[in-house]
Amino acid sequence: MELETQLSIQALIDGELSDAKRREVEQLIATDADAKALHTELSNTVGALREGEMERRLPESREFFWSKIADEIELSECREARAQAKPVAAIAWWKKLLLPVGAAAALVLAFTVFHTEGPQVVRPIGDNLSVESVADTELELPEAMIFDLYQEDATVIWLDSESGVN
Amino acid sequence: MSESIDYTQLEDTELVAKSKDQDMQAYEELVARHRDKIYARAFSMMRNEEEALDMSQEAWVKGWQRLNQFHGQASFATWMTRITINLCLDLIRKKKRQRAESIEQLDDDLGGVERQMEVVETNPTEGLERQELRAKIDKALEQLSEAHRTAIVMHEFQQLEYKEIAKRMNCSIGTVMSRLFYARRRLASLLAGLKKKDEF
Repeated sequence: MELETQLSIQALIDGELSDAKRREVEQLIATDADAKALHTELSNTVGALREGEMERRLPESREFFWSKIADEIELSECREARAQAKPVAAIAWWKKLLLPVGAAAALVLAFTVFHTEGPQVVRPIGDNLSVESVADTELELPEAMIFDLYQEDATVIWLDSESGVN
Repeated sequence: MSESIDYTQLEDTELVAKSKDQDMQAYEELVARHRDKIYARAFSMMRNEEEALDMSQEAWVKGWQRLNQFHGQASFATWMTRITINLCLDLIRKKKRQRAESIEQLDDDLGGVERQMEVVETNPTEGLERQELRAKIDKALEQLSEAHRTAIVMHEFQQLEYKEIAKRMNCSIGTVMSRLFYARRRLASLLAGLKKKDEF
């Protein structure tokens, strides 16, 4: 007998066949002695198993078994609470770190801006004169000399596109 | 003054409702009522007292954690035995991975032997008392492979359909059918053998 036929006989016992297939298998059992014998054997085994599984008593007292379960429940709830608290703690830690890091970054930025971008200041040449050199090579501006004549209350700007300030 | 409750007088459904409200005493009563059944199911799967104890304990912890998922479609005991079976299946899979060999494949290949076995025409369990019958079946189940025994436990004791067993065992319906078939044929032969042994 084909395995497929044998499995169909089993499926009939388990109530897993469609109506059409069920009628087909029932017909086979009625006419084929091997199919009938297999059907009887499988039915007997299934019938015996339906009496249920062996009864067993848990080999621990009610109190001891429950205490282990209660402990485990408590432990798992603590673990869960800790896991939920973790992201909040991480955010608080970042917040704490943010202030000093931010302050340091601001200082570095201020230092960098002061020392790299501002115009170069040339100290005053005389009592009534100060000279500033405005050189911005990126914009290709000509070199400039600025004279502040305090006594005259005027400023003179001398541009030189040919050479440096000298 | 709070009214004292006699939990032993409450129905399972009432105990479940109280447990859902974090009443541990109600849950303790449920554990006390069904602990033997859960242990027996875990033992049927694992065939080992220590593992069965661990699995049933873990099942009760899981049961508490998932109580809100229980909506009463099945009885509380059935719901708990399903959790137990799933945990046992996980452990069986883990053990298989540790053994680093495909026992499931091996089990299926062994089916050829069962197919060739002679059909047991007389009923080997006829006339046996219920307890005696259960003991014989238990002895026979012990001799089945893990995959075959698991299929039998899920189909006969848990009353799951082929489709549901396939889902839980992570295999095809065809595999479930052949596992059940080979397991039943082997059980028939084992029970007949046990009967003969007793007759001598």
